[in-house]
Amino acid sequence: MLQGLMNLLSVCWNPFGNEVENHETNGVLGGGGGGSSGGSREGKDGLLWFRDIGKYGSGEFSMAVIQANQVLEDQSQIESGQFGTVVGIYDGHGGPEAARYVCDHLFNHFRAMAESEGVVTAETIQRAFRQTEEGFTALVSELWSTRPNMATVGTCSLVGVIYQQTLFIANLGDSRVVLGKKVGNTGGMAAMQLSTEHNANIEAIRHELKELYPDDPQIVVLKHGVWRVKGIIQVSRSIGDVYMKHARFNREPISAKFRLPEPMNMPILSASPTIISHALHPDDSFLIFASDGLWEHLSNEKAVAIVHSHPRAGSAKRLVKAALQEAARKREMRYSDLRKIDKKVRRHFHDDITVIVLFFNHDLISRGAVQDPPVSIRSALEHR
Amino acid sequence: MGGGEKSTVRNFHLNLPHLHLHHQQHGKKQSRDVPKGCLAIKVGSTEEEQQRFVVPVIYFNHPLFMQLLKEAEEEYGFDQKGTITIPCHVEEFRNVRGLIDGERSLHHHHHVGCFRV
Repeated sequence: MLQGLMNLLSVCWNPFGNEVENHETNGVLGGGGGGSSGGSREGKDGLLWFRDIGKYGSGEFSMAVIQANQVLEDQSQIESGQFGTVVGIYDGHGGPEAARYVCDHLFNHFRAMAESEGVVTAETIQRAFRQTEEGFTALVSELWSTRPNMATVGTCSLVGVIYQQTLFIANLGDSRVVLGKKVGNTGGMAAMQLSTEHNANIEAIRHELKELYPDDPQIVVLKHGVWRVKGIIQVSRSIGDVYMKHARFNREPISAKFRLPEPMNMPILSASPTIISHALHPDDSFLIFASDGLWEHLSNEKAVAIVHSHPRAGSAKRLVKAALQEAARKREMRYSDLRKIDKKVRRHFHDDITVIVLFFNHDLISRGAVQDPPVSIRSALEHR
Repeated sequence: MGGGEKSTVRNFHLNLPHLHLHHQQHGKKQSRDVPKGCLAIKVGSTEEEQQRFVVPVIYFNHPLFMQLLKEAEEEYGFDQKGTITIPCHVEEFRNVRGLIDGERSLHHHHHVGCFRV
């Protein structure tokens, strides 16, 4: 009874009910009420951080991050409350600032709009992305005289929203979310990719770019077996990377390798996410959200098989480990020896990897119920 | 990651590949066995043929070796598939290896035995 009253009070005070436990200034903000959310085994192991299992509004989650860059460029978050759940994976490049900015702002834009409209649609998400891009661009403008390199910082953004019985997936860049879906009655599990990727190494993306810039033979360039937009960057959509979107940022003093021979008259990179909606079905078992550092080494099918054939707790960590084993194998070395390699140099072996696995509780979802406590988790800025 | 093999510097000893009693087919990529604590790299600038070397993993944390890796990064980015290739002259690599090994023999009793193939 008292708990019910407390919940009511917290809902009235803040309809999106986020209670944030601030463990350390520089660490992970761990939500979910620590002990009350049960099984919240959080751990660190060198460059790896993990939360084996925890509860969110519509089920359980598992999360893990491994750092490879000198400064961690991946950022991620889980926000869950009476409104539903938002998961974000932000794979930054050229620096951590854009990923951090998106982690700081995207959810707030989304929440403000959802609150004022009282409903969540694809448009809500689209607008939140646009506001975030506009905010970051304005910031780069402000900092142009002191920190011009901000013009060459960007981030992918993969967002999943669970709202009532609908799942929305919005993607910019090459992070990926895969659905593990039960098939038949034999306990089999299929992998269904829900996100569309924007990477020049995908033929459809090269085609799209050539259609947009038919007079530019250099719009995509193959270098050392890798396709890059204008020979510079692999992703074709992102937040930030304003040097590829506005001519006023594509000039000195940014580094020559980012400067284009001719000024652009329209943006080359886009900040418009591909958004899909999916009606949740009882056969939908889990979602694997991850930055491309994971998918570089694990196929969709392999990742789904790993989650399906092991206990839920530790799923995210297990996926990271499997990716690292594969990365080590490719480099003709042992997985156990990979640990000895410091960050930054580690980047020669694998990228930053962030994994969030969401398990669905269909009993809750079908009743339109969201379980407490609210969750607000954000990955750390640094892991060492 | 927790568990798994515990491999430390103290486990290094002189390894002669043909004396391996157990053949661990970890990689299946190469039939040659890369000893514990080591990895294979390819070295060679554009004017010469690439040579394969097996080096201790901990070389990668050494500032001299990191300089060579910088050259690999500038040439290939981080997009290399398979064995890491360092685009410097083989002689330059040999010099760096000699310097690193020289430093290490001052500080360690054991010989780092990554037999070069």
